Amino acid sequence: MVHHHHHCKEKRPKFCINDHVDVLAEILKRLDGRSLCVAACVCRLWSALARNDSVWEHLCFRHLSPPPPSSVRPVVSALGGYRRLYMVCIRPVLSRLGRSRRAELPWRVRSREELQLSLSLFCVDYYERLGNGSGGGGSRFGDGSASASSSLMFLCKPVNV
Amino acid sequence: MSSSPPPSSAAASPSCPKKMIALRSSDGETFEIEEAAALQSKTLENMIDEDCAGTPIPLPNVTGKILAKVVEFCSKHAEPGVDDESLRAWDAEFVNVEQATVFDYILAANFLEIPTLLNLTCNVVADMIRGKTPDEIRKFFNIKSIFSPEEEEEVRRENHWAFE
Repeated sequence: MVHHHHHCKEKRPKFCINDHVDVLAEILKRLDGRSLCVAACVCRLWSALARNDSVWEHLCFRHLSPPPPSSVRPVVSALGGYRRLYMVCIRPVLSRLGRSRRAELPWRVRSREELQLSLSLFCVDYYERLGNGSGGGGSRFGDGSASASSSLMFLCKPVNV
Repeated sequence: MSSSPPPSSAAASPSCPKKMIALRSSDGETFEIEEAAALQSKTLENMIDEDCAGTPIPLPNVTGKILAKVVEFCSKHAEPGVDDESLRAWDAEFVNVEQATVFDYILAANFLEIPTLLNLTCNVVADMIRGKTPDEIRKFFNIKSIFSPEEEEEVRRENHWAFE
């Protein structure tokens, strides 16, 4: 799955980032969600690294201090992984806040309460996917469009009051 | 074979002089670094514990030019009484260099296991990636992508929201 492309000149070996996978992983860890998805389209190596759930774990909780207890990880993995958590629970809230408060810094999970909220929403998503299994099959990232009437995932969508 | 002068020491207690560690770069230059600064590097920390009579520690992966800057960085970060804001400003200046040098810093920080420098430099590169399209990223890092058409389509589909 790993490809090395050597574009080396004689005088000074040109830096090829794909030769330094551990460093590349460190760099990708520091991207935001959107850039990470763009990075996944660069080449096979980047795609494999971007698919690695630990990168998304870092993205979800990097602003949480102290970091969440290690007991969280198996729960999140069982419910579908950190990438899904980000896509389903964190990103929609983020983009909604981005639309309404332009000057505001991007929302991140900073407090224990926000962590609990994200995990609760994630449990709801998992539960609903269980229900959709026998039906027509829900959409990949829990749009909430399936079983719309009983779906609690409206909590992730803008509310019309 | 030149030796750079030791960094000016802050108020050292008179009874115990600051311990200096000697480092040798890949191209044979020797540098001296205070122990407190050297401990910023996990690699050096391990080597210092097994130190034999103060012979210069060889660092075959780091050139003299870069090692000098790394020593400067570690010394600055070991300085007592520097406030966060001025340290951040200093860091920003430190990485205000050409791209190739930033990559050299990253490799050195990775090899020497200096978390502060690695974090700083990786963030710089992450900033360079942010906002670019996949094609621009490929050009920037000189990466040749050999996705098959099916792979390319699948990867685009998986990550479609990033392009909306």
